[in-house]
Amino acid sequence: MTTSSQEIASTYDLAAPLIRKRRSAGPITAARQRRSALIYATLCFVGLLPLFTKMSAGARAAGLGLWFPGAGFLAVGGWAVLLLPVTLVLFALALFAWFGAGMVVAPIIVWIAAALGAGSMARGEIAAASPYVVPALVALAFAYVHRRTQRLKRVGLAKLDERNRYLPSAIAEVVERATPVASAAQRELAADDLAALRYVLDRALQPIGELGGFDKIDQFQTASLRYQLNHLGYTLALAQCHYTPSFHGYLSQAQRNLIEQYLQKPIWDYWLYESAWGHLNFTNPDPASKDNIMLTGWFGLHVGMYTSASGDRRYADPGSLTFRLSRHRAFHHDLHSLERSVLQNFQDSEFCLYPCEPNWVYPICNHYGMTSLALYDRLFETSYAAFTLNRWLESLDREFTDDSGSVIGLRSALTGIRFPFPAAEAGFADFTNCFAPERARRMWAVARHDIEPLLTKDDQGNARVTLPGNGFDFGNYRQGWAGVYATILNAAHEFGDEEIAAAAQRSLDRDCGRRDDGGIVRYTKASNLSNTFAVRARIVRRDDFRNAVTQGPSAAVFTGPILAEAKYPDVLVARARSHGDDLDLVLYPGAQSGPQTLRLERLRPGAQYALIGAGEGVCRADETGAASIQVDLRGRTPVQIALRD
Amino acid sequence: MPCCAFAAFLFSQLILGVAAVRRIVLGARAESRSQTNAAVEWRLPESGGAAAGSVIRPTSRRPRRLSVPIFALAALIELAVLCGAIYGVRAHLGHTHHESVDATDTR
Repeated sequence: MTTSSQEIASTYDLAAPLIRKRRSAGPITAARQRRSALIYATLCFVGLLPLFTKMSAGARAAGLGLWFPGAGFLAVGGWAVLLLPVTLVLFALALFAWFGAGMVVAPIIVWIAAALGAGSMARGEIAAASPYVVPALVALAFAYVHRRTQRLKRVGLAKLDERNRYLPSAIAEVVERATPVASAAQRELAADDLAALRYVLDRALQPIGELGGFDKIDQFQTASLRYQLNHLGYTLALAQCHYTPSFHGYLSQAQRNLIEQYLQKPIWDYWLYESAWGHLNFTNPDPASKDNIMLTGWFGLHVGMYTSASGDRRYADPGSLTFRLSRHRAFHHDLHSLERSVLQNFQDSEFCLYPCEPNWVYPICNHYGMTSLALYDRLFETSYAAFTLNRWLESLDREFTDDSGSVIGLRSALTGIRFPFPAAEAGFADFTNCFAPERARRMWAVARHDIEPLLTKDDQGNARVTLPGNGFDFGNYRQGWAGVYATILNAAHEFGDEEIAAAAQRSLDRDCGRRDDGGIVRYTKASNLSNTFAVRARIVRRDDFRNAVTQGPSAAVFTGPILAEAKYPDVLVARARSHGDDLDLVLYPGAQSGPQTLRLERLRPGAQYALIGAGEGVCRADETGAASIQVDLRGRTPVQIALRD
Repeated sequence: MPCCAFAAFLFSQLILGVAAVRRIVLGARAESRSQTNAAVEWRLPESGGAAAGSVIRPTSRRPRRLSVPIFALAALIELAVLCGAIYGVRAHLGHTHHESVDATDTR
């Protein structure tokens, strides 16, 4: 018997209903930071040796160059000092290459090259003041960082106290405001939702290799095609799970297309480079082996959600997810091996959480990974999440939570250094709801408390969210708030807070260039990633993500009749659900009103069915349990297929 | 939500810096133009609309667009620095050799 991941999480979290007070750095983080400090101290000591031993000017300049990138040029003096800012710019670019693409060697190369360069330029004597200026600059920098860290720590701890004071009442308010979980009988996509979903279907129903309507910028960062594909997949799977579990046809086809698109080399071959310059691994760029949770965690969840919503288990077959590098080389995977990779990496990592790009641990991607394990456990009756969740949550608390109790954006696994980046509770809460619901509610209570002051009235007196500044869209690196509005909308819906959801939807529609034409809703001032997330956020309701992961569709939809074929975009499906022997449909014409042919499957072979609704009549299933029917679509068209005695 | 957030954050600082300069130089029109995303104007062609059950096959591989991926740019910079360093080391070794010759001459 498998252990529920929620039971484990609840046990851990019940011990601390409020946010725990901890040391600022967890034990592993502290150890990594000590190691980094030791290495740096050694570098500085080695850098001083040429000064003390009266070595050549070149050696002394190079030695000072070890104190910080470009410092050696101060020792050279004269015009060479101008190379210091140049080196610092290059070092910043190298750091960017490290952050963005895991190029660990880049900052090391710049630092060492600058030191060697300074050494080669020094003639005669080094600048007399440089042995004092360089250490003084380092001391000043350390003093500044220390002072800033202490100030942030004080601010963080004060925020933690404030949060723990308001949390009991804030959590009670979250519970009070939460709308009830919608019953299956109530679930139906509105015409606007269908128009929004067409944005996603249009992109997903392209031939493999064609990516019209995607943002194509780079394959390393947040605008990468892989994230766009994943989010398109999550959105369709959520729609299928909660609104149309008995519709396969183009909806399942669209999801399989996205999975097949993902396996194309241009989508995942970034890992060839990252494993080479990040792991110094030039021989085995298997994308689902060491690290790379941005692939295994995200894609595992993507494939798992399709498997769960559709009941189609083809991606559990060996080699069904093959990443082909060339005619002669391929990495054969399936859903099992993806999830085993996630579990294995959790187990192997000292932090439990593990990196995306080599050496960079992003807690958000690890939330995708943990959610994928929880889903996999339900699908295949394993205990992967339960096995690792306690350690994972403890590590999240100790190593990846700041003084205010918020989960941090990222940490360098190599150096233990945390880099400042705002990571909001609203972005983590819906994932956490899948495996630690009590903690998730607490996160949403904090997020709600932070969002409430941002609620204002528009010119018609309706509540909206007003955010300061111009925003930033991670899907195309342009200005814009669409992604943030969608994140708030998604979390508000997940926790049943319809007031904040309505305000966020209003802001999205008003600020992000909403366009309704051709039967499709889209936002012109948003990336494809943000547009897709906005569709998902629009259609989900209370606990939808959690239930998609922990429950999936009811058993009846996997045995009862299905709508197997309908023409896209002529037939739009707002509801498709079987309760066993029947099929309950709500359809809309996508283009023009008129007759449309539908193909039904999984009917009882040879049985007669009554058609109630558009084009009433009777149909008989053939010996394979299939039948074709004609329906007359005019606006919202309910159709019921019921077994006749 | 997004992975690699800090890298994107750093990148955003560069982009926003450029955007600010452009706004100052070109005025507000440049900003509004830059905020519209052409990708979302895309529409699935009627002929390409997938009828249910149709088998979608891979298309022939198209040549990749001519763009300058960030990694290539970073790699080029690193390569340039590396070449500079090698040149510097070689120059340094040559310089040391001359110095020792000079010292012998002086004696």
